Amino acid sequence: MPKDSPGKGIGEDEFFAAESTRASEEVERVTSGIELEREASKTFGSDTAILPRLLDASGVLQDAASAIIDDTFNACFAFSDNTAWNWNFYLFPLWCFGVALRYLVLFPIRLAWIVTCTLLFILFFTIIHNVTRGKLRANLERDLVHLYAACFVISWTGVIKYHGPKPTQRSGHVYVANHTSIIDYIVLTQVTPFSSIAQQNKGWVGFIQNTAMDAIHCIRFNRTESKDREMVQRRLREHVANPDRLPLLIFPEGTCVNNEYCVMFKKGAFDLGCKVCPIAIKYNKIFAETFWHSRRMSFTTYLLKLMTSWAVVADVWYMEPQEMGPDEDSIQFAERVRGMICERAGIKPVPWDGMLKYYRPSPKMTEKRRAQIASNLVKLLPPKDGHLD
Amino acid sequence: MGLTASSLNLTQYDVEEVQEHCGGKFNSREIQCLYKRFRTLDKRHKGYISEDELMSIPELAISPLAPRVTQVFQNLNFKDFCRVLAAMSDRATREDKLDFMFRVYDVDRDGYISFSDLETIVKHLVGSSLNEEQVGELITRAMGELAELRKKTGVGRGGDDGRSSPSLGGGITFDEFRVIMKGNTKLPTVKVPVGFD
Repeated sequence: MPKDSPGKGIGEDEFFAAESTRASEEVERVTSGIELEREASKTFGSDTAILPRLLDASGVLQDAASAIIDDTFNACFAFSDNTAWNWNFYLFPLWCFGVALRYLVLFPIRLAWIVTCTLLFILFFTIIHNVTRGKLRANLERDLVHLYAACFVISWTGVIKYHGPKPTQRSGHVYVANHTSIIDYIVLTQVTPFSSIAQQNKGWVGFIQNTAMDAIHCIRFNRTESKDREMVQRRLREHVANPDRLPLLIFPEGTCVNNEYCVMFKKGAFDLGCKVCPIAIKYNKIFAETFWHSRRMSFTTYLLKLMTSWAVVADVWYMEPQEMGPDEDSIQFAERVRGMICERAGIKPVPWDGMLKYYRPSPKMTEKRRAQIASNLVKLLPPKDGHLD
Repeated sequence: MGLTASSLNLTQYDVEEVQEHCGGKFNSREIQCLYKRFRTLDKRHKGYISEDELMSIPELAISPLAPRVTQVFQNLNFKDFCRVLAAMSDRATREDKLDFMFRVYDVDRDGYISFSDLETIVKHLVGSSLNEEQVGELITRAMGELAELRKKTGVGRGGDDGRSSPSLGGGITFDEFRVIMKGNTKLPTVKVPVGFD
């Protein structure tokens, strides 16, 4: 459950450049203007006039203008707009009744429930943590986290259908899922407790991270610390190799996306040399908007929003474990797994790195397009030796 | 008029006003769709889109001509934003499209695509893929062709104060640009995604 933070550490640029090179191939899909250029160079054929070619950047301009009108990156972080249905004389009273029910009846009950659960959780956790030792403590703490997650799901009347075999605790497996919000983790943990890897949060979420999540060996990191990255890779490997640890859940998108699209998967989870089990999560947004835009609202506000909604409806698919193919590298492997998740959940893959929220795209992505244009233009120049001007 | 930065929805009156401003190149649904997009890009609802906000669209930021395109689109209010985009609608004429392209290439906005304008554009287009020498040769040859064209047709002399030498002189005028682009049939066209509702 990473939280977005606009931090920028040393070495972030090189890291980002490396990650983005693979995306450049996919970018071709969104730059349809390349097609225009190809057609143009066909229609010109043997015509060697340079001026009309230099002055014709139609393809590039078309792409640029299309991007201004609509782009797939911003679409990843847009809230779904539910059209209002209540402005109708017989639906309106019904809607008002619904609001009253949600805010005045459901919400207080749910709030009381989750506050009670939290207090009990803290109480039992403190007792277990201080009284018991060793394996017993680990097991009890795990069960407690498991229960607490279920309490959360009840607090927003989670109606979640799980498809496929339940994950079990064993070494050599890592679970990857698409990411819409922190509640992804809760929804999955109520079935099987998972260890996860998350950005260090502040406030009460940070407090839970530092206590309960630490007990179940979640890995915390700070995006702004570049040396954390190596530490995280090392700890991930250790975690996966250790059969006593809970299964590891990673959200390779690294940021919350609105569950309509899926941004690029970071390759870290696919580099561990173990089997990868894809999990696809799809929320039905009829009753609640589950996308958490971490910059626009705090997690508390987000939870209150869920608790005043009718229900959180979701489908979760556990898919068959995948292994890296013999002729695949971790990037291709990540792409393949992402394809499976997207197809299963019915979300659209886009070639963008979620981190583009914070950084401009690497110039390498531009250079590829430029090289193409340049190769077309250079053909117009006569070979060096035959040139007499 | 109701087109303040804070108005959420366009009235029919507003839509008509914008439509008129962009010469009827967009229908009312397209304008509403563009307005929604404009408001999304204009994050603080200032009434215009800044360069930074434009460059935060990765698909635009990776365009070789991104610096020029953002210069053309930045700090426009919604009406002018639509007018510039209208040049690329499928209802726009060839003339509109050429005019838009000319404005992109005319970096210093003096009404001519001068030597330095052309150099800037070509450098944006090819980046580091061609060396200085190759870019120079492309432009020299292009200028040679322009001189040929001027000898042959005599266009552009009028607006040029007789400065049309074998070099670009005052630069390529719009009339000359139109003649040069005669063979280019595929000009930029964009569609506004109006959806099905």
